[in-house]
Amino acid sequence: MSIVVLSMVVLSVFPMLSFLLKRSERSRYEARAGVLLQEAMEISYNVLLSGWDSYTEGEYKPALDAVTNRWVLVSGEDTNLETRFSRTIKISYVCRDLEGGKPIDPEIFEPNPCPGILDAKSKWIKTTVSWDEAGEVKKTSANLLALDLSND
Amino acid sequence: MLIFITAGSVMATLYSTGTRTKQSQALEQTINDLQIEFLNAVKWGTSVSYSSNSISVDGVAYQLRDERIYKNDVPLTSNEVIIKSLNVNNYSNSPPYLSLEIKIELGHRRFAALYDTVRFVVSQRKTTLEEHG
Repeated sequence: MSIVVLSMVVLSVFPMLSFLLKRSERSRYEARAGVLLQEAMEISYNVLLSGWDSYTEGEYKPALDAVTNRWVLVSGEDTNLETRFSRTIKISYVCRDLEGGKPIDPEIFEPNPCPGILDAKSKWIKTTVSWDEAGEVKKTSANLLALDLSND
Repeated sequence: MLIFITAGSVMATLYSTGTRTKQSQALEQTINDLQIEFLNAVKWGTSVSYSSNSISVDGVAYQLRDERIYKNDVPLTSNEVIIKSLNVNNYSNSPPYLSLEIKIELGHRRFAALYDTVRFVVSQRKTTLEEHG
């Protein structure tokens, strides 16, 4: 009887431990993805501060220019980050609605044309980090609305 | 006898896992706290300067000393966590605004197998508008 009870305890404790450890590992992946996301947003902000006209619509990844030792954005997707993550920075022109000038999320109308007014002084920067977890693709993303306040 | 051995093994495993998880969480919490502190300070700082292992924001000095990070001589990290290194580099493409890459290597004082390296970037925000013409 005591062996049966002990077996039941062992059979329930070890799977629970395994579940908790896996859960802890998953939350660590999410934390790492958050750091990568934040890094891309920070680099994008810094690069656009002085290079507003250099970056048109498209997908970019952050990089370090080995010659100037400065951040730049280059075309393409970041893959195999920390052997697990992929990252893209998507720059879009800002489409504002006709009523109040509120920016419209590009995902709502793309690939159709802007249903409102295109704002050349603003850019929509969307960063997405994705990774594979037990066969399931996980994603996290963040948006930054950048405004060019320099005078022409 | 076998029952006692098995029960003992289960208890030891539970205790060991619990202890390791707790220490790992202490490390993770330190990483989160440092990240938030540096992000908020540098992002909104008006006067930001740095050296290879220290950052100064609006008169507040962050530096590595005695395996801890200090904020104006007050320890920011606990005694349980060892800060092995703090490296700061500026890769800004938009001077005079800084864009700092901060790398921190840290470990647990009582559990040598636990260590981590964190790297994050924070860019100083342009918070003033210049007049032209």
